[in-house]
Amino acid sequence: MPSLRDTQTAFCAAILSGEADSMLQLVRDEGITAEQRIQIYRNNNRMASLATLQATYPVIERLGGADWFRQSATQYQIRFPSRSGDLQYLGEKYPDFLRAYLADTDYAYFADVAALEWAYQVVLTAAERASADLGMLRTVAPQDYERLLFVPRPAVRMVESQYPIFAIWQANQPSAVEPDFQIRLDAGPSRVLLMRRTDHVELRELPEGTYHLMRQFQLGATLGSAAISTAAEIPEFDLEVCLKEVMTLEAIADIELCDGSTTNTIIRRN
Amino acid sequence: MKVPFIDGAASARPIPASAGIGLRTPHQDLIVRERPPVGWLEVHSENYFADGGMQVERLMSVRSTYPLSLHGVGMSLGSTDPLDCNHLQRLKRLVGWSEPAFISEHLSWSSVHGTHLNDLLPLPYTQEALLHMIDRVDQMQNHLGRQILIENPSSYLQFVHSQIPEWEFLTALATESGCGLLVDVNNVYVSACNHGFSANRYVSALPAGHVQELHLAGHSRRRYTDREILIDTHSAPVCEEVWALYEFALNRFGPVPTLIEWDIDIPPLEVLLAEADKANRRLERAHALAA
Repeated sequence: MPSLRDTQTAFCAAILSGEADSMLQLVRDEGITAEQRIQIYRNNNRMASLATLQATYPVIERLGGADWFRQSATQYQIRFPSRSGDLQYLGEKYPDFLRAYLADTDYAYFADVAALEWAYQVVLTAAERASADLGMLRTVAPQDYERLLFVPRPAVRMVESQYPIFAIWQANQPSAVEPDFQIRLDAGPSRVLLMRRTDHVELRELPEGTYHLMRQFQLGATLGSAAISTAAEIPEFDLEVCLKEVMTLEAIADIELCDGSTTNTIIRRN
Repeated sequence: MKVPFIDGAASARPIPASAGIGLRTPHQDLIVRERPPVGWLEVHSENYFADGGMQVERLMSVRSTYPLSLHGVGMSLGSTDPLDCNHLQRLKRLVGWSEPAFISEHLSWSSVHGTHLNDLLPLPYTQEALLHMIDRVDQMQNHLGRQILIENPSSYLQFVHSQIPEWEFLTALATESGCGLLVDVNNVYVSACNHGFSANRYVSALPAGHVQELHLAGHSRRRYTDREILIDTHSAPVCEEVWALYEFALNRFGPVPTLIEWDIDIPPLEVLLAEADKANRRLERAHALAA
């Protein structure tokens, strides 16, 4: 008698890779063939994966069309089988998959649009933290400014692309009255901040300097090192302008004072 | 080993022996806003594992009005892989803040060698599988510190090496682990049709004292050359044959909280509430008989 482990191994191979020889010997025919019975589970598995990816990547499905999307979902499942019992994670590697699947094609930009859609899902389910009361920055001594850490809210993500992914995303929303199909892929890069509001996820494009500064904050840089890094990357960077813009985003949850290896939270609102 | 904590849901609002519905995304706003009269709500546990967001906030909102049941689909209890501690921990966190009256999972497996098939796959009903499931249910109940319910699956194949009828397997599992049973009446009907056993015999053989929740749902039919196979799709109204089996089950188990499940092609809320009313009419008759 096959062990439970061997039975499950054979079942998994029959569903995912179509290698059903071992499994066929374990299944009763009962009116329809063992292969037909296994096929029901294959169909269920593919339909469930497809439905989950469709819910996560509606723009990619619209861009590629239903047939292409279905094929890509099948290939994705082969190359990146699910590693979690929680379907929320099923599509996590789909942008990486598309990057390789569509490399050197006219559709290479799909990977960046997919990265934007995945960031949307992450923001949708991230922990809630209100934005910090930035007025309290007045209590910080000027000599301490460079040691400030601006900690973004958990429900904030950033995606950068050489393609105009924000315009592509906007034009492919159900609410888009007249989809703009005149978007030029060489229209220039797009730097998008995604942030959850009370009842929706807001996407907005940021200027290069503001994006870079915010990105540095997300990586844990102090204001001083974030400013130096951004200025090195972007010669026309204006710290005052960009910092003001960051402040108006309501994307910062905590402001901490970094003292070597330790940090002290000075502004926090839960 | 039988767990000592049969009544672990002391802080939860008890679920009445009436009909409930699943809280599904298309209806969430309406239910949060209007609080329609329905006995209780069930949610898929994994949909609320998130750290935050609108989905979680809606559940936090409705739990003040409705008793809750958490129904898991991703624990892969029957898998020979180690139990996913991260999944279990997130379930425990959800149980902590949502305070459900019931926590349920399935007599099934979904993963092996770290790969998840995200489906409720059938087990071979062997002595090895029974001991394995008893151990898994034991682990889960001990981790959560309370009893769980185990649901019978719908299935489309049977293993040649299965030795124990499903109803005997469930009875032994409940007796040995101390878990409760969630009897999906539609699943009993689907599997009975697909494998040629008597649905009434299945229901009659289950230990009534362990049955704490019933499920009702619709299914679809797929025609093959020689016969038809029923597929548990949760995409249609409950059919007459399943209503008849439900009445038989109520006669056997008495009035038990009953869920209307509808997960695909979800209709307007009124349709779900109308299905719940049909179940409630049958439950009222069962209450009268039990009085």
